[in-house]
Amino acid sequence: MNAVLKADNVESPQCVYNEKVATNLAQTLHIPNAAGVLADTSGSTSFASLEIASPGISLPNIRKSWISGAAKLYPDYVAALIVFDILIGNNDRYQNLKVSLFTPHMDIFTAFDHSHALLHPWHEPHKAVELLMSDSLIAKKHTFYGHVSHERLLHWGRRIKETRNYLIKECCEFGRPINTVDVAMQKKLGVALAYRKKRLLHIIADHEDVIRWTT
Amino acid sequence: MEYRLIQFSRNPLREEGKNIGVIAFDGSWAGFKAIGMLDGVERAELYGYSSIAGPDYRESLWVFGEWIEWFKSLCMESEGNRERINAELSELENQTLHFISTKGGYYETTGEHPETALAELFEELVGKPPSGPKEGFKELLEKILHRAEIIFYPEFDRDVEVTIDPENGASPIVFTLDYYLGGEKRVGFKKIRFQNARVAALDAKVNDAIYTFSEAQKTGFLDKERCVVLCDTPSAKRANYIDRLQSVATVIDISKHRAYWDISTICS
Repeated sequence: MNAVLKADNVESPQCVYNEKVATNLAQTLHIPNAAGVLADTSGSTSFASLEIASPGISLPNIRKSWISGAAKLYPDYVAALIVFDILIGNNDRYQNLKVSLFTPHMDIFTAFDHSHALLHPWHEPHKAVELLMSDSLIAKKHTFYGHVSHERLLHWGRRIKETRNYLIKECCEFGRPINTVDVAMQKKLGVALAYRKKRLLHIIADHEDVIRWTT
Repeated sequence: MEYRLIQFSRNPLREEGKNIGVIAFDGSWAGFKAIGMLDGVERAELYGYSSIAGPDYRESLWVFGEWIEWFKSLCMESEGNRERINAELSELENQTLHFISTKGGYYETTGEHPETALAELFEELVGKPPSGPKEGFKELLEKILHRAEIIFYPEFDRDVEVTIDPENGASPIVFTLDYYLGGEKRVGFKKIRFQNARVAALDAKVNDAIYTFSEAQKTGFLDKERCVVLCDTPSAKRANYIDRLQSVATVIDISKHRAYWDISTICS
């Protein structure tokens, strides 16, 4: 099986933890995201992203000129991904997305790379948690801003808002440190995300000018 | 004019890539030409990639089509900007190890249209996909099914057994199909090889196809025009089988040039 192995690094010191939590959340919330697992590699924990290399030969990342077409072909996935990126504070979506666009009947829309979300490296982890606990949009840029319907956005916002708190917390807590992310920080992130999901609809409404949904 | 070759490698760690296309650019124009891209046809034909992909990736042929669009979009978006094209191609390895961009070179043009230079480059550096040894019935059939692109439908299945319970309480009717395309427009296929087949085996195959399609139509499972026999060209002595088969099915000779198109039309 092909996999892309990721480790903590200077640019993203909590990369592994961020990736695994984003994967857990995406699976819990039914967001189209590449599956992945934790893997032990020479004394530290890495993240193995499993679906990026599927189907056999990896698909290309989405291109700028494809964004509008992808939004038309996969409107529900697009809405889900925007709301998810707002939840996890992902300001780094860019072209981190594999989409089948030119082959009829091939329904593939898979997001990947969440190393710069959650406890993202632009802040100390505790400051990142503080930011997630606020009504800040964080995801100030997004591939699909301007290409999503308000109705679908609200649908996904409500869906995520109604998810039970304990499910969100379970996605963040591992009962053991993941490299430099200790158990206490994991719990704090769980609390922050449980709060943020409740505020999602407010955050979305407050940033209409940035998200630029269609009606 | 600057150019870079695009290669595909089945096993990037072990073997060199095979040339599949070339991207050419001159600062204000960029173009891409790859195997299967025909003038005036929007979508590339992918069957030529069968021998390049090999058996491991035969089911992923459609991904070549997605990558061809990626390279075309790179040309369009960059408007020939050398720095941008070189930067994106140099970072290709971050997306895939199967598609490789070589360092490239320069091609002397004599003022002709850049498209002409691209066509010359392609002819010189890539040409036609390598052809394998002469194909047998089985290989040709697979190639035609790929080219018709029906195997990419999720509803496509092989070796399907169909059981139909009649409403009058009679015994179930059971028949088999070599290929079956489900969904709204059901299509059933039987394959029959005439050449080199023994008479007894051929009789059995033809009778089975006639039985299958008769029952499928009688029960309303398939319409006649969606009962398809895929065969090779029979010798004159065996041509009478075709008449019998045509009474219950559409017969498509897969050695004919239009075979893939006929299959594709029936399934669309």
